[in-house]
Amino acid sequence: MQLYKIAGINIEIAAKYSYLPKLCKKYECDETKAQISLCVSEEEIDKEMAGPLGQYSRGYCESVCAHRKLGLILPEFDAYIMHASAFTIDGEGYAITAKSGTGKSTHTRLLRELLGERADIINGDKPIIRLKDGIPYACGSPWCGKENWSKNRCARLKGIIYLERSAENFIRPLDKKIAARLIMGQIFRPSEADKLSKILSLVDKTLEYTDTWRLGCDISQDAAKLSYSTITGVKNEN
Amino acid sequence: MKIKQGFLVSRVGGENIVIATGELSKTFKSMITLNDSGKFIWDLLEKGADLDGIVKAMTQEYEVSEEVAKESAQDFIRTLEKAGALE
Repeated sequence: MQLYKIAGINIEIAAKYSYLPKLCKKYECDETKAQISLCVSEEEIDKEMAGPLGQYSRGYCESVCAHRKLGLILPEFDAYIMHASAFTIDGEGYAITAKSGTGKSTHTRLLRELLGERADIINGDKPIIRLKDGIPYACGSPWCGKENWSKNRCARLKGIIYLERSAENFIRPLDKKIAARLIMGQIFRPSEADKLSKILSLVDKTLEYTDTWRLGCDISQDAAKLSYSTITGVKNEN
Repeated sequence: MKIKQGFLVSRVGGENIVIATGELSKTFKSMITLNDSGKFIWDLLEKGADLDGIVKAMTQEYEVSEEVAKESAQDFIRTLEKAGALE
């Protein structure tokens, strides 16, 4: 059985369809002992197909189920899934989170255009945040949104940016209490009390060790320059 | 006047966050945040306290008059009722 190393965890995936192994290709590893085993039944795929994903292939639905199952197990490894675009600037990790369609990917792309190789992607849509010795890391995952931005790497998460659309560009520190409210809306939340409780404690620790920002922006290089110089503490270089 | 079964209260980033779990999460989708006095009343409601009990506890905890405590407690309870958190 093929094993994958995702967020530093050895994961065995017993896929029935070809979509999932293709999706996870970059995460293949030579380990022999699995820490997590993921298997989706035909019945679970049927259930998924009966919902809003009905027009998609069975393989795609299998991958969605597998991702959800992973989200339920990750808290056991001090990890959880955040709806965000995660990337590094000069090796330090940042996550831009927002409601769907706000412009996380656009702002990430603008930062990459501005900074070239200094900005490197981790995951475009659903990074795994894993705490090691109490320190949060943003980690890549095969499930990464339509841009397909995914790298099998982890970086210390230095800052979380909550993004909103605004006619005027601004970025300011975000109070941790408000950050908690906003970020909780972008976290994969299981309904089981024990798992949810663990995730909430992990988010609490994440907030303790990260800077939090509120970014209002349009689609422009000026917005990227402003966020880059503020979150990294670098004065405008131009 | 009792809080429905299935809420999880957790402190995240210094904020008291309340989220429905299990069966309750299927019908109660929103998230509640509580300030410290809200959390104080929430805990009392969870233990089954009535309005008189809550007012008495608040006058002791916050050194406020019965009138002020009653008004605050009623306001808070009304908010929870509106949100559908009480049974």
